[in-house]
Amino acid sequence: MMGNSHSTSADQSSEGALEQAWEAYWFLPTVSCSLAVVRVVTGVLGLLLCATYGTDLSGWFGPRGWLPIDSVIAWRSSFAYSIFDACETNTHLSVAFYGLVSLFGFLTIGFLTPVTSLLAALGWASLLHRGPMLAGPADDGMAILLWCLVIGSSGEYFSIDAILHRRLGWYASRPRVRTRIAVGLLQVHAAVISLAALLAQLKGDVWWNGTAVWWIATRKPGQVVDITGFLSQSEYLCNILTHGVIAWEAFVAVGIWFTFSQKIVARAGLVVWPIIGVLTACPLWGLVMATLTIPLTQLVDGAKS
Amino acid sequence: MFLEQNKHSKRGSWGEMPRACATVFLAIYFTGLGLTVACNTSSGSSLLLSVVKGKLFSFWLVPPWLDLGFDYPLSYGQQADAAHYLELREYGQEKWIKLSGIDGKHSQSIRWQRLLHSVIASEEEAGREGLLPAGFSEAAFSLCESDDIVLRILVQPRPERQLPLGNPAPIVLYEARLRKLSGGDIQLIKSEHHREMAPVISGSGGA
Repeated sequence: MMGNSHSTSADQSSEGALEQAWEAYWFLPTVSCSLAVVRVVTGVLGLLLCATYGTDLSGWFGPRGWLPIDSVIAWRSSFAYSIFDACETNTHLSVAFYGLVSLFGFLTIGFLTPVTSLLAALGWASLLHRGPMLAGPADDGMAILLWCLVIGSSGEYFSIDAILHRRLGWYASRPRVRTRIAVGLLQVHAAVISLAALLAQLKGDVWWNGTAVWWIATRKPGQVVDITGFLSQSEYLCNILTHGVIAWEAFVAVGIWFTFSQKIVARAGLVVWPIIGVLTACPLWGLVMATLTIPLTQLVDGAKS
Repeated sequence: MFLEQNKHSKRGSWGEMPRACATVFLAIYFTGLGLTVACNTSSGSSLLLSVVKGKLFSFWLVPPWLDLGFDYPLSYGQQADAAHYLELREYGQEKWIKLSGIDGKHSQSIRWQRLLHSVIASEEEAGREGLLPAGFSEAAFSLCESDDIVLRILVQPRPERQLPLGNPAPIVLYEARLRKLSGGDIQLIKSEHHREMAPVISGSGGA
Protein backbone atom coordinates (compact mmCIF):
# COMPACT_ATOMS: atom_id res chain seq x y z
CA MET A 1 0.00 0.00 0.00
CA MET A 2 2.73 2.42 1.00
CA GLY A 3 4.70 1.29 -1.99
CA ASN A 4 1.72 2.07 -4.23
CA SER A 5 1.27 5.56 -2.82
CA HIS A 6 5.02 6.15 -3.16
CA SER A 7 4.99 5.13 -6.83
CA THR A 8 1.84 7.21 -7.47
CA SER A 9 3.48 10.33 -6.05
CA ALA A 10 6.62 9.57 -8.05
CA ASP A 11 4.48 9.29 -11.22
CA GLN A 12 2.75 12.56 -10.38
CA SER A 13 6.04 14.35 -9.81
CA SER A 14 7.48 13.04 -13.08
CA GLU A 15 4.28 14.10 -14.90
CA GLY A 16 4.59 17.50 -13.26
CA ALA A 17 8.22 17.77 -14.33
CA LEU A 18 7.29 16.83 -17.91
CA GLU A 19 4.48 19.38 -17.95
CA GLN A 20 6.77 22.06 -16.56
CA ALA A 21 9.44 21.27 -19.12
CA TRP A 22 6.85 21.40 -21.95
CA GLU A 23 5.41 24.68 -20.63
CA ALA A 24 8.84 26.22 -20.20
CA TYR A 25 9.96 25.09 -23.66
CA TRP A 26 6.95 26.26 -25.64
CA PHE A 27 5.14 28.89 -23.59
CA LEU A 28 7.79 30.94 -21.79
CA PRO A 29 7.60 34.45 -23.30
CA THR A 30 10.76 35.29 -25.22
CA VAL A 31 12.13 38.50 -26.72
CA SER A 32 12.21 38.47 -30.49
CA CYS A 33 15.72 39.84 -31.06
CA SER A 34 17.14 36.62 -32.53
CA LEU A 35 13.99 36.01 -34.59
CA ALA A 36 14.50 39.47 -36.08
CA VAL A 37 17.99 38.40 -37.18
CA VAL A 38 16.42 35.25 -38.68
CA ARG A 39 13.95 37.50 -40.52
CA VAL A 40 16.70 39.64 -42.07
CA VAL A 41 18.75 36.62 -43.16
CA THR A 42 15.63 34.82 -44.44
CA GLY A 43 14.70 37.85 -46.53
CA VAL A 44 18.16 37.93 -48.12
CA LEU A 45 18.10 34.16 -48.69
CA GLY A 46 14.65 34.50 -50.25
CA LEU A 47 16.03 37.04 -52.70
CA LEU A 48 18.95 34.72 -53.54
CA LEU A 49 16.60 31.76 -54.07
CA CYS A 50 14.33 33.89 -56.26
CA ALA A 51 17.41 34.80 -58.31
CA THR A 52 17.86 31.10 -59.11
CA TYR A 53 14.46 31.23 -60.85
CA GLY A 54 14.76 34.73 -62.27
CA THR A 55 16.50 34.31 -65.59
CA ASP A 56 14.69 31.08 -66.53
CA LEU A 57 11.26 32.01 -65.14
CA SER A 58 9.41 32.40 -68.45
CA GLY A 59 11.44 29.53 -69.90
CA TRP A 60 10.01 27.23 -67.24
CA PHE A 61 6.58 28.62 -66.43
CA GLY A 62 5.75 30.86 -69.41
CA PRO A 63 3.03 30.00 -71.98
CA ARG A 64 5.61 28.25 -74.18
CA GLY A 65 7.77 27.08 -71.29
CA TRP A 66 9.13 23.68 -70.33
CA LEU A 67 6.60 23.21 -67.51
CA PRO A 68 3.14 24.10 -68.83
CA ILE A 69 0.40 24.36 -66.20
CA ASP A 70 -1.55 21.30 -67.43
CA SER A 71 1.32 18.87 -67.14
CA VAL A 72 2.40 20.23 -63.73
CA ILE A 73 -1.16 19.97 -62.34
CA ALA A 74 -1.33 16.37 -63.57
CA TRP A 75 2.09 15.62 -62.03
CA ARG A 76 1.82 17.28 -58.59
CA SER A 77 -0.36 16.51 -55.54
CA SER A 78 -4.06 17.19 -56.03
CA PHE A 79 -4.08 19.32 -52.85
CA ALA A 80 -1.44 21.71 -54.16
CA TYR A 81 -2.46 25.15 -55.38
CA SER A 82 -0.40 27.95 -56.80
CA ILE A 83 -1.30 31.53 -57.58
CA PHE A 84 1.17 31.21 -60.47
CA ASP A 85 -1.26 28.73 -62.10
CA ALA A 86 -3.40 31.74 -63.02
CA CYS A 87 -0.52 33.48 -64.83
CA GLU A 88 -1.17 32.76 -68.48
CA THR A 89 1.15 35.37 -69.99
CA ASN A 90 4.75 36.27 -69.35
CA THR A 91 3.65 39.67 -68.06
CA HIS A 92 1.35 38.15 -65.44
CA LEU A 93 4.11 35.74 -64.47
CA SER A 94 6.63 38.55 -64.07
CA VAL A 95 4.20 40.64 -62.00
CA ALA A 96 3.50 37.73 -59.62
CA PHE A 97 7.19 36.83 -59.39
CA TYR A 98 8.48 40.34 -58.80
CA GLY A 99 5.64 40.81 -56.31
CA LEU A 100 7.15 37.92 -54.37
CA VAL A 101 10.64 39.40 -54.76
CA SER A 102 9.43 42.72 -53.33
CA LEU A 103 7.82 40.85 -50.41
CA PHE A 104 11.22 39.36 -49.61
CA GLY A 105 12.66 42.88 -49.84
CA PHE A 106 10.05 44.18 -47.37
CA LEU A 107 10.68 41.21 -45.11
CA THR A 108 14.41 41.99 -45.05
CA ILE A 109 13.88 45.60 -44.00
CA GLY A 110 10.97 44.66 -41.72
CA PHE A 111 8.19 46.71 -43.27
CA LEU A 112 4.65 45.67 -42.22
CA THR A 113 6.29 42.47 -40.99
CA PRO A 114 3.22 40.43 -39.87
CA VAL A 115 1.53 40.93 -43.25
CA THR A 116 4.71 40.67 -45.30
CA SER A 117 5.84 37.44 -43.64
CA LEU A 118 2.45 35.77 -44.23
CA LEU A 119 2.28 36.89 -47.87
CA ALA A 120 5.90 35.86 -48.47
CA ALA A 121 5.20 32.38 -47.01
CA LEU A 122 2.10 31.95 -49.18
CA GLY A 123 3.89 33.34 -52.24
CA TRP A 124 6.88 31.06 -51.71
CA ALA A 125 4.63 28.00 -51.30
CA SER A 126 2.88 29.07 -54.51
CA LEU A 127 6.13 29.32 -56.42
CA LEU A 128 7.21 25.88 -55.22
CA HIS A 129 3.84 24.36 -56.14
CA ARG A 130 4.08 25.83 -59.65
CA GLY A 131 7.11 23.64 -60.25
CA PRO A 132 7.56 21.16 -57.38
CA MET A 133 10.04 19.14 -59.42
CA LEU A 134 12.43 22.12 -59.35
CA ALA A 135 12.42 22.46 -55.56
CA GLY A 136 15.31 21.27 -53.41
CA PRO A 137 16.58 21.26 -49.83
CA ALA A 138 17.11 25.02 -49.61
CA ASP A 139 13.54 25.66 -50.84
CA ASP A 140 12.06 23.32 -48.20
CA GLY A 141 14.11 25.02 -45.51
CA MET A 142 13.02 28.44 -46.72
CA ALA A 143 9.36 27.39 -46.40
CA ILE A 144 9.99 26.39 -42.77
CA LEU A 145 11.79 29.62 -41.96
CA LEU A 146 8.96 31.66 -43.45
CA TRP A 147 6.21 29.83 -41.55
CA CYS A 148 8.14 30.26 -38.30
CA LEU A 149 8.38 34.00 -39.02
CA VAL A 150 4.59 34.04 -39.52
CA ILE A 151 4.10 32.44 -36.10
CA GLY A 152 6.62 34.55 -34.17
CA SER A 153 6.91 38.29 -33.87
CA SER A 154 9.98 39.17 -35.90
CA GLY A 155 9.43 42.83 -36.68
CA GLU A 156 10.18 44.31 -33.25
CA TYR A 157 13.91 44.72 -33.83
CA PHE A 158 16.09 45.81 -36.77
CA SER A 159 13.07 46.87 -38.80
CA ILE A 160 11.23 49.81 -40.29
CA ASP A 161 8.26 48.71 -38.14
CA ALA A 162 10.33 49.12 -34.96
CA ILE A 163 11.44 52.62 -36.00
CA LEU A 164 7.85 53.62 -36.80
CA HIS A 165 6.53 52.19 -33.54
CA ARG A 166 9.20 54.02 -31.54
CA ARG A 167 8.54 57.35 -33.28
CA LEU A 168 4.77 57.11 -33.08
CA GLY A 169 4.85 55.63 -29.58
CA TRP A 170 2.45 52.81 -30.49
CA TYR A 171 3.87 49.92 -28.50
CA ALA A 172 7.20 48.75 -27.20
CA SER A 173 8.70 45.37 -27.91
CA ARG A 174 8.07 42.75 -25.23
CA PRO A 175 8.61 39.03 -24.67
CA ARG A 176 5.94 36.96 -26.40
CA VAL A 177 4.79 33.35 -26.22
CA ARG A 178 4.35 33.06 -29.99
CA THR A 179 7.98 34.11 -30.45
CA ARG A 180 8.99 31.27 -28.12
CA ILE A 181 6.92 28.83 -30.16
CA ALA A 182 8.56 30.03 -33.39
CA VAL A 183 12.04 29.71 -31.88
CA GLY A 184 11.18 26.25 -30.54
CA LEU A 185 9.94 25.15 -33.95
CA LEU A 186 13.15 26.37 -35.58
CA GLN A 187 15.16 24.33 -33.07
CA VAL A 188 13.02 21.22 -33.60
CA HIS A 189 13.35 21.52 -37.38
CA ALA A 190 17.12 22.02 -37.20
CA ALA A 191 17.34 18.71 -35.30
CA VAL A 192 14.81 16.87 -37.48
CA ILE A 193 16.38 17.95 -40.78
CA SER A 194 19.85 16.96 -39.55
CA LEU A 195 18.56 13.58 -38.37
CA ALA A 196 16.57 12.88 -41.55
CA ALA A 197 19.48 13.88 -43.79
CA LEU A 198 21.78 11.69 -41.71
CA LEU A 199 19.43 8.69 -42.00
CA ALA A 200 19.10 9.20 -45.77
CA GLN A 201 22.87 9.44 -46.21
CA LEU A 202 23.67 6.40 -44.10
CA LYS A 203 21.72 4.21 -46.53
CA GLY A 204 24.42 4.83 -49.14
CA ASP A 205 27.74 2.98 -49.19
CA VAL A 206 29.61 6.10 -50.22
CA TRP A 207 28.90 7.74 -46.86
CA TRP A 208 30.34 4.68 -45.09
CA ASN A 209 33.41 4.21 -47.30
CA GLY A 210 34.25 7.92 -47.15
CA THR A 211 33.96 8.80 -50.85
CA ALA A 212 30.64 10.70 -50.90
CA VAL A 213 32.32 14.11 -51.09
CA TRP A 214 34.28 12.91 -54.12
CA TRP A 215 31.08 11.94 -55.95
CA ILE A 216 29.51 15.29 -55.11
CA ALA A 217 32.65 17.22 -56.13
CA THR A 218 32.77 15.57 -59.56
CA ARG A 219 29.22 16.70 -60.37
CA LYS A 220 29.72 19.98 -62.21
CA PRO A 221 26.23 21.55 -62.16
CA GLY A 222 25.88 23.81 -59.16
CA GLN A 223 29.50 23.32 -58.14
CA VAL A 224 30.74 26.25 -56.03
CA VAL A 225 34.44 25.38 -55.81
CA ASP A 226 36.32 22.65 -57.64
CA ILE A 227 38.09 20.53 -55.01
CA THR A 228 38.53 17.42 -57.15
CA GLY A 229 42.27 18.16 -57.45
CA PHE A 230 42.77 18.07 -53.66
CA LEU A 231 40.51 15.05 -53.24
CA SER A 232 42.26 13.00 -55.91
CA GLN A 233 45.61 13.68 -54.19
CA SER A 234 44.52 12.61 -50.72
CA GLU A 235 42.10 9.83 -49.89
CA TYR A 236 42.35 10.79 -46.21
CA LEU A 237 41.07 14.30 -46.98
CA CYS A 238 38.13 12.84 -48.88
CA ASN A 239 37.37 10.50 -45.97
CA ILE A 240 37.71 13.24 -43.35
CA LEU A 241 35.31 15.54 -45.18
CA THR A 242 32.73 12.79 -45.79
CA HIS A 243 32.80 11.48 -42.23
CA GLY A 244 32.89 15.07 -40.97
CA VAL A 245 29.54 15.84 -42.62
CA ILE A 246 27.98 12.75 -41.03
CA ALA A 247 29.51 13.50 -37.62
CA TRP A 248 28.30 17.08 -37.70
CA GLU A 249 24.73 16.10 -38.62
CA ALA A 250 24.67 13.51 -35.83
CA PHE A 251 26.08 16.04 -33.38
CA VAL A 252 23.44 18.65 -34.29
CA ALA A 253 20.55 16.15 -34.14
CA VAL A 254 21.51 15.15 -30.59
CA GLY A 255 23.58 18.03 -29.24
CA ILE A 256 20.94 20.67 -29.90
CA TRP A 257 18.97 19.36 -26.88
CA PHE A 258 21.66 19.39 -24.19
CA THR A 259 22.82 22.52 -22.40
CA PHE A 260 26.51 21.62 -22.50
CA SER A 261 26.54 21.03 -26.27
CA GLN A 262 23.99 23.67 -27.34
CA LYS A 263 26.60 26.39 -27.22
CA ILE A 264 28.86 24.52 -29.66
CA VAL A 265 25.97 23.76 -32.02
CA ALA A 266 24.81 27.37 -31.85
CA ARG A 267 28.18 28.98 -32.51
CA ALA A 268 29.82 26.38 -34.76
CA GLY A 269 26.60 25.93 -36.79
CA LEU A 270 26.95 29.43 -38.18
CA VAL A 271 30.28 28.43 -39.75
CA VAL A 272 30.05 24.66 -40.30
CA TRP A 273 26.70 24.56 -42.09
CA PRO A 274 27.78 27.03 -44.83
CA ILE A 275 31.00 25.02 -45.30
CA ILE A 276 28.95 21.81 -45.63
CA GLY A 277 26.71 23.63 -48.09
CA VAL A 278 29.72 24.50 -50.26
CA LEU A 279 31.17 20.97 -50.01
CA THR A 280 27.87 19.34 -50.96
CA ALA A 281 27.12 21.79 -53.80
CA CYS A 282 24.06 23.10 -51.90
CA PRO A 283 25.39 26.46 -50.61
CA LEU A 284 21.95 27.94 -50.02
CA TRP A 285 20.89 24.86 -48.05
CA GLY A 286 23.96 25.36 -45.85
CA LEU A 287 22.93 28.97 -45.25
CA VAL A 288 19.33 27.97 -44.47
CA MET A 289 20.57 25.42 -41.91
CA ALA A 290 22.86 28.04 -40.35
CA THR A 291 19.86 30.38 -40.13
CA LEU A 292 17.87 27.73 -38.24
CA THR A 293 20.55 27.72 -35.53
CA ILE A 294 20.63 31.52 -35.07
CA PRO A 295 17.94 31.62 -32.31
CA LEU A 296 19.80 28.90 -30.44
CA THR A 297 22.54 31.44 -29.70
CA GLN A 298 19.98 33.59 -27.88
CA LEU A 299 18.62 30.57 -25.98
CA VAL A 300 22.12 29.69 -24.80
CA ASP A 301 22.86 33.29 -23.77
CA GLY A 302 19.40 33.57 -22.16
CA ALA A 303 19.98 30.41 -20.13
CA LYS A 304 23.32 31.78 -18.92
CA SER A 305 21.83 35.10 -17.80
CA MET B 1 -7.43 30.09 -7.92
CA PHE B 2 -5.51 33.35 -7.48
CA LEU B 3 -2.36 31.37 -7.14
CA GLU B 4 -3.19 29.67 -10.44
CA GLN B 5 -3.75 33.04 -12.10
CA ASN B 6 -0.42 34.31 -10.78
CA LYS B 7 1.21 31.24 -12.22
CA HIS B 8 -0.34 32.06 -15.61
CA SER B 9 0.84 35.63 -15.54
CA LYS B 10 4.34 34.37 -14.78
CA ARG B 11 4.12 32.04 -17.74
CA GLY B 12 3.09 34.86 -20.04
CA SER B 13 0.04 36.27 -21.64
CA TRP B 14 -1.50 32.97 -22.79
CA GLY B 15 -4.26 31.38 -20.72
CA GLU B 16 -5.02 27.70 -20.25
CA MET B 17 -7.16 27.33 -23.37
CA PRO B 18 -4.75 28.85 -25.94
CA ARG B 19 -1.94 26.76 -24.44
CA ALA B 20 -4.03 23.62 -24.68
CA CYS B 21 -4.94 24.40 -28.31
CA ALA B 22 -1.27 25.09 -29.14
CA THR B 23 -0.26 21.82 -27.45
CA VAL B 24 -2.79 19.84 -29.50
CA PHE B 25 -1.68 21.56 -32.70
CA LEU B 26 2.00 20.88 -31.93
CA ALA B 27 1.24 17.23 -31.11
CA ILE B 28 -0.58 16.74 -34.44
CA TYR B 29 2.16 18.54 -36.35
CA PHE B 30 4.94 16.51 -34.75
CA THR B 31 3.07 13.27 -35.42
CA GLY B 32 2.84 14.23 -39.10
CA LEU B 33 6.45 15.34 -39.16
CA GLY B 34 7.59 12.06 -37.59
CA LEU B 35 5.57 10.08 -40.10
CA THR B 36 6.94 12.00 -43.07
CA VAL B 37 10.49 11.41 -41.90
CA ALA B 38 9.79 7.75 -41.12
CA CYS B 39 8.14 7.03 -44.47
CA ASN B 40 9.15 9.73 -46.92
CA THR B 41 8.91 8.81 -50.55
CA SER B 42 12.41 7.60 -51.25
CA SER B 43 13.89 6.46 -47.95
CA GLY B 44 11.81 3.37 -47.52
CA SER B 45 8.48 3.05 -45.77
CA SER B 46 6.31 0.43 -44.22
CA LEU B 47 2.79 -0.13 -45.51
CA LEU B 48 1.38 0.52 -42.04
CA LEU B 49 3.03 3.92 -41.62
CA SER B 50 2.21 4.96 -45.17
CA VAL B 51 -1.45 4.08 -44.72
CA VAL B 52 -1.63 5.94 -41.38
CA LYS B 53 0.08 8.93 -42.94
CA GLY B 54 -2.10 8.85 -46.03
CA LYS B 55 -5.35 8.51 -44.10
CA LEU B 56 -4.68 11.10 -41.40
CA PHE B 57 -2.62 13.67 -43.24
CA SER B 58 -3.56 13.30 -46.90
CA PHE B 59 -4.97 16.83 -47.08
CA TRP B 60 -1.68 18.15 -45.77
CA LEU B 61 0.78 16.10 -47.76
CA VAL B 62 2.04 18.82 -50.03
CA PRO B 63 5.78 19.61 -49.97
CA PRO B 64 6.03 23.14 -48.55
CA TRP B 65 3.51 22.36 -45.84
CA LEU B 66 4.23 19.07 -44.19
CA ASP B 67 5.32 16.15 -46.34
CA LEU B 68 8.91 17.25 -46.54
CA GLY B 69 10.62 14.13 -45.24
CA PHE B 70 13.95 15.97 -45.45
CA ASP B 71 15.38 13.07 -47.43
CA TYR B 72 18.64 14.68 -48.50
CA PRO B 73 21.17 11.95 -49.33
CA LEU B 74 23.14 14.56 -51.36
CA SER B 75 24.87 11.70 -53.18
CA TYR B 76 24.80 7.93 -53.30
CA GLY B 77 27.68 7.93 -55.79
CA GLN B 78 25.41 6.37 -58.38
CA GLN B 79 24.47 7.22 -61.92
CA ALA B 80 21.12 8.63 -60.76
CA ASP B 81 22.76 11.58 -59.05
CA ALA B 82 25.37 12.33 -61.71
CA ALA B 83 24.94 15.32 -64.04
CA HIS B 84 22.09 15.01 -66.56
CA TYR B 85 21.78 16.74 -69.93
CA LEU B 86 18.92 17.41 -72.30
CA GLU B 87 19.44 17.25 -76.06
CA LEU B 88 16.97 17.86 -78.87
CA ARG B 89 16.93 17.48 -82.62
CA GLU B 90 14.47 17.76 -85.41
CA TYR B 91 13.23 14.29 -86.36
CA GLY B 92 15.28 12.93 -89.28
CA GLN B 93 18.18 15.31 -88.64
CA GLU B 94 21.52 14.24 -87.20
CA LYS B 95 22.65 17.29 -85.23
CA TRP B 96 21.62 17.46 -81.57
CA ILE B 97 20.98 20.78 -79.85
CA LYS B 98 22.36 20.73 -76.31
CA LEU B 99 20.52 23.01 -73.90
CA SER B 100 22.88 25.54 -72.39
CA GLY B 101 22.55 26.37 -68.71
CA ILE B 102 21.87 22.80 -67.63
CA ASP B 103 25.48 21.91 -66.92
CA GLY B 104 26.64 25.35 -65.78
CA LYS B 105 28.07 26.12 -62.39
CA HIS B 106 25.39 28.65 -61.51
CA SER B 107 22.47 27.76 -59.28
CA GLN B 108 19.83 27.68 -62.07
CA SER B 109 21.57 24.57 -63.36
CA ILE B 110 20.70 22.76 -60.10
CA ARG B 111 17.00 23.32 -60.82
CA TRP B 112 17.46 21.97 -64.36
CA GLN B 113 19.18 18.93 -62.88
CA ARG B 114 16.23 18.33 -60.51
CA LEU B 115 13.81 18.63 -63.42
CA LEU B 116 15.69 16.06 -65.50
CA HIS B 117 16.01 13.71 -62.50
CA SER B 118 12.24 14.04 -62.03
CA VAL B 119 11.65 13.09 -65.67
CA ILE B 120 13.69 9.91 -65.24
CA ALA B 121 12.19 9.08 -61.82
CA SER B 122 8.63 9.70 -63.10
CA GLU B 123 9.08 7.00 -65.76
CA GLU B 124 8.99 4.46 -62.93
CA GLU B 125 5.87 5.95 -61.29
CA ALA B 126 2.45 4.83 -62.40
CA GLY B 127 0.36 7.72 -63.74
CA ARG B 128 3.31 10.06 -64.12
CA GLU B 129 5.23 8.40 -66.96
CA GLY B 130 5.61 10.62 -70.01
CA LEU B 131 3.85 13.60 -68.36
CA LEU B 132 6.87 15.85 -68.09
CA PRO B 133 8.44 15.04 -71.49
CA ALA B 134 5.07 15.61 -73.16
CA GLY B 135 4.90 18.96 -71.36
CA PHE B 136 8.27 19.88 -72.86
CA SER B 137 6.71 19.80 -76.35
CA GLU B 138 5.90 23.50 -76.92
CA ALA B 139 9.30 24.70 -75.72
CA ALA B 140 11.09 21.94 -77.65
CA PHE B 141 9.15 22.60 -80.89
CA SER B 142 9.93 26.27 -80.64
CA LEU B 143 13.63 25.61 -80.03
CA CYS B 144 13.95 23.16 -82.93
CA GLU B 145 11.57 25.15 -85.16
CA SER B 146 9.76 21.94 -85.99
CA ASP B 147 6.65 20.09 -84.82
CA ASP B 148 8.35 16.73 -85.00
CA ILE B 149 11.37 16.34 -82.75
CA VAL B 150 13.40 13.84 -80.76
CA LEU B 151 14.51 14.58 -77.23
CA ARG B 152 16.88 12.62 -75.09
CA ILE B 153 18.25 12.83 -71.57
CA LEU B 154 21.83 11.73 -71.00
CA VAL B 155 23.85 11.18 -67.88
CA GLN B 156 27.55 11.90 -67.59
CA PRO B 157 29.26 9.01 -65.72
CA ARG B 158 31.84 10.10 -63.17
CA PRO B 159 35.29 8.64 -62.69
CA GLU B 160 36.30 6.71 -59.57
CA ARG B 161 38.55 8.71 -57.27
CA GLN B 162 41.61 6.63 -58.13
CA LEU B 163 41.14 7.03 -61.90
CA PRO B 164 42.33 10.04 -63.93
CA LEU B 165 39.77 12.82 -64.33
CA GLY B 166 38.27 12.52 -67.76
CA ASN B 167 35.01 12.72 -69.57
CA PRO B 168 33.64 9.24 -70.28
CA ALA B 169 30.98 9.00 -72.96
CA PRO B 170 27.52 9.97 -71.70
CA ILE B 171 24.80 7.34 -71.40
CA VAL B 172 21.32 7.85 -72.84
CA LEU B 173 18.73 7.39 -70.09
CA TYR B 174 15.62 8.48 -71.94
CA GLU B 175 14.76 9.13 -75.54
CA ALA B 176 11.41 9.94 -77.12
CA ARG B 177 9.98 11.34 -80.30
CA LEU B 178 7.47 14.15 -79.85
CA ARG B 179 5.23 15.34 -82.64
CA LYS B 180 2.19 17.50 -83.03
CA LEU B 181 -0.69 15.77 -84.78
CA SER B 182 -3.08 17.51 -87.15
CA GLY B 183 -5.67 18.16 -84.38
CA GLY B 184 -3.03 19.83 -82.21
CA ASP B 185 -2.63 16.79 -79.95
CA ILE B 186 0.87 15.80 -78.90
CA GLN B 187 2.08 12.28 -79.56
CA LEU B 188 4.97 10.90 -77.50
CA ILE B 189 6.72 7.81 -78.86
CA LYS B 190 9.23 6.53 -76.37
CA SER B 191 12.33 4.88 -77.80
CA GLU B 192 13.16 1.58 -76.20
CA HIS B 193 16.21 0.66 -78.26
CA HIS B 194 18.77 1.59 -75.65
CA ARG B 195 17.34 -0.68 -73.00
CA GLU B 196 19.17 -3.81 -72.05
CA MET B 197 17.77 -6.98 -73.56
CA ALA B 198 17.95 -10.42 -72.06
CA PRO B 199 20.16 -12.72 -74.17
CA VAL B 200 18.34 -15.16 -76.45
CA ILE B 201 19.21 -18.72 -75.58
CA SER B 202 18.85 -20.95 -78.58
CA GLY B 203 18.97 -24.71 -78.83
CA SER B 204 17.07 -27.40 -77.06
CA GLY B 205 19.70 -28.35 -74.52
CA GLY B 206 18.15 -26.43 -71.66
CA ALA B 207 17.02 -27.97 -68.44
